[in-house]
Amino acid sequence: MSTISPELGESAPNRLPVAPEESLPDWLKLTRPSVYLVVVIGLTYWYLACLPLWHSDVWLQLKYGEWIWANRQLPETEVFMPLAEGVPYTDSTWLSQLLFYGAHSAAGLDGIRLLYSVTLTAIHTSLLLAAFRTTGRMWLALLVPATMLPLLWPNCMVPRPQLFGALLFVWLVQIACNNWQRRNWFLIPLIFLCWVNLHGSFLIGLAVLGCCVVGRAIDAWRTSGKVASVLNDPDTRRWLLVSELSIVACLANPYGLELFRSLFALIRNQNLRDILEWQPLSIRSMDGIGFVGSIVVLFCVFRLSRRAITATETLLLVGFGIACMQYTRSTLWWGLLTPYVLSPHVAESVDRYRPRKLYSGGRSLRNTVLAAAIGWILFAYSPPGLAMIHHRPRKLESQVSRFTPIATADFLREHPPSGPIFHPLEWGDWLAWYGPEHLECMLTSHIALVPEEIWRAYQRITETKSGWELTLDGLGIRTLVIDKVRQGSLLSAVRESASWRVVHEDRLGVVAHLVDGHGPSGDESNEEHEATSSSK
Amino acid sequence: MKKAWPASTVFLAVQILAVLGITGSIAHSRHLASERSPKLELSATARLPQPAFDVPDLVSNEQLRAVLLRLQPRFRDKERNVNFIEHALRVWKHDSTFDDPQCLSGAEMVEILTHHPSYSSAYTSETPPLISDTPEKLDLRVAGKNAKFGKSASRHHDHWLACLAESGIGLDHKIQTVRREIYLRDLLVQAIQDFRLDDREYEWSAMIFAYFMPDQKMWTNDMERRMKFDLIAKRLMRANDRLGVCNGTHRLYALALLVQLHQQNQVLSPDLFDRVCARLKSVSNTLVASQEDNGGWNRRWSEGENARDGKDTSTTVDKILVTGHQLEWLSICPQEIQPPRENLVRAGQWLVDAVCESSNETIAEHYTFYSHVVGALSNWRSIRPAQFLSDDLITQ
Repeated sequence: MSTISPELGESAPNRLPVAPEESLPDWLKLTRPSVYLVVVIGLTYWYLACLPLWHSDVWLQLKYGEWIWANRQLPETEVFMPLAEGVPYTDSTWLSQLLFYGAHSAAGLDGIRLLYSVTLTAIHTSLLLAAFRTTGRMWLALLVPATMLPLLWPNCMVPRPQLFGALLFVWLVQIACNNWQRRNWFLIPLIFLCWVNLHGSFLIGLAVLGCCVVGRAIDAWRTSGKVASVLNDPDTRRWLLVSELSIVACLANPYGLELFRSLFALIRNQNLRDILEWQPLSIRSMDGIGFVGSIVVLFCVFRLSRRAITATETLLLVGFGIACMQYTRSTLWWGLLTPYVLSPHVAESVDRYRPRKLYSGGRSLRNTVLAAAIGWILFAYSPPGLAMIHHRPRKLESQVSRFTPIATADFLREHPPSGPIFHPLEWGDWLAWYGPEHLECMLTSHIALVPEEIWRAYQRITETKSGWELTLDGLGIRTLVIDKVRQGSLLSAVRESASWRVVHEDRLGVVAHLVDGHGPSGDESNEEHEATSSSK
Repeated sequence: MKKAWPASTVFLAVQILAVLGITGSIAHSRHLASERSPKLELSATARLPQPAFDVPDLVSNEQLRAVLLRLQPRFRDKERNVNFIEHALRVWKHDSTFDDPQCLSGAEMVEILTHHPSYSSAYTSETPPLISDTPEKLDLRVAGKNAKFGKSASRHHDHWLACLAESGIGLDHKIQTVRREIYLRDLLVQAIQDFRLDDREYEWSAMIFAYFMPDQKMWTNDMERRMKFDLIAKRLMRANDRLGVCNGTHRLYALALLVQLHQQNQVLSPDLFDRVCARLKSVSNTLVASQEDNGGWNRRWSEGENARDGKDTSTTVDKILVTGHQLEWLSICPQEIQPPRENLVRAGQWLVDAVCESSNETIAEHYTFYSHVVGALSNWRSIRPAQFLSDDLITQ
């Protein structure tokens, strides 16, 4: 049906009737490449939404979210590890915890999966669009972020607050890599306002801002050759001021400046030195290989490119490169940063060999409808979509990873143990969430909050070092939950010990109880005069 | 077209905002810090548990006199053992004096423990100081019996402080270290800072906190961990009864101390107070079941009736250790927690006999074990041993 505008009446007989599609704004009409992008993004979402939830981390976030919601306050000390009672807890991820809990309250585990897959898809989309805009080629847009996949994927498998930080990091870097825009005055502080309450990695964002300020100052100085020009450079001034605003935004958290202090203390925590992601990067590890590979790619691209490397790019690469060598977990930020640095250089190099063709195809509403339909279909047939739209809830077993000790936790729910229990570190969060109410887990993923003596005790027991049974007794532990695969030596020792009786065994785990009246022989514990000093 | 703000206006506005934000945040952080680390309220002198019982059936005046005379601190011509001195001081008190010239007075014992020149004169020049005082650290030297310089060191973490507190020394007592004069208060504050709940030894720390911080509801260590008597009580109840120093009896003493402190100051939550009382009552029942026919307890006391199966290998000295310690903590417990009086009397009588039958060499070798007999029997008569001996001599 065609409509005739009132303007097209008899007074304007020579003007053609305007089709409704042409009267629509351009942003509502997509190009054909945009449809391809939607397909790629939709498939990314669909794949991520199909992944089962990992058995660590997210469960503790849920538990804390639940606690915060129920108590209408933030925890002041560690709540779910009785052996760490009284240890101060600065909850830098409280907003993430509430988000996870909100998602779970709204749609159960599918809500978590939706939140996880949407966040990761948003990260992927940001990387993809940025690369596409810079290079102007679909294949390069797909290729450039994909080179960083070996670094990114291991850090993104687990739904945790860090992912929200990663998304905001990507947005910040994207802003930093583009020309200054007026909206940055509130966008950047807004990013930090959210980030500081979502995850402690906002410090990484402040480091990016620092690189931008110093980098632009160096570039201004290099261009003019005068130090005074740095102060007059509008770009440097803007970045300096927006950095100040961002720092002020970072103070808008429940702890104020105290949050900074506690995060620096966390970085120095001794317990974390035993965790792989807090250790220096090993070149032999998958992360290390990925990191070296990315440096090789960067080197090759920089050799080919005739585009000047800016001081900001240099500072960012050097700063984050050093951070990666110090802490393996920094490879996430490196993997997110590098595509932004690579893209313009790749674009310049490729453009020289094969000049870019401007897109000549038109925009049409049909493309938009097609993209929307594809997007809807992929969402509707993703597991969260099936659950929410078609109300087809799935079994717990199919929603969580196959390494999740469901049967072990079910046994503990049926036979709640008294007192603290020993269990694998990786299972702590799951047991705290899914296990019986008031279960006293020895450890959760909050390792930095665990007193060092408890952490050493955990290691001593896991490695069945001499006196491991005495250590268990000192902790008041009468129930052991053992990972059959990773804690084989402990399992053997328990099976051989007369003091312990295996009361449950399933595919993944074993539960053992201390036999009444039995316990470790205490040759070191009886003699007043033989007892040695405590460890100081 | 919108007109851009002048750069100077933007600059000034941002600076004002930054200053306001940072100032507000500093004030907020200070408020949080003061909430997290409350000020310490230290009692100038230790509030020691007051024995409330006088049971002559458990030990008569004559028996007590005989026992106390045998267990006086005859250390003058012997190799000085810090652990022995600490034990003697806690039961005989800082103001004790003795007629026997072989005995060290309370003041002399305090001098050895708190005055570096006096301490060092008793040992070789190689012996490290008892109080390690460096710009980085203020600490007591703690070492095992068989360690190098072990005899010149304290044996347990915070035992030195607890013994001085029990002897009646106040926090204003001057301590002479290698390089300066400090006060007992300084070492106590250091001990509060250093305290780790999950260390192997925590019994004496619990005691000094109860002695010197009876009004403190919460405090923090140098890791900012929040400590409460609730937390300490849970720690004391965490491990198996039969493990721990002196067969776990020091834990029981510390728990009994907390019960008494709670009855005065409500330092425990009601639930935990009930749990502590239930635990001590359960131990008390176990003691009834495990008491040997002669009245003593052996090292397997926590096994209840099984401890009497005839397979126990405890020596008499071991049994003196266990029975002395048990009677000592029971002496500061509420009566409803204690075993029946008949069991206590039998234990007391056995101790008296065992001490009287012990040779001087055995007593000298195991003085620390025997010192708890002094503490236990004196408490059950509500007397101070040195005072009792001097009064007794006057009466005679």
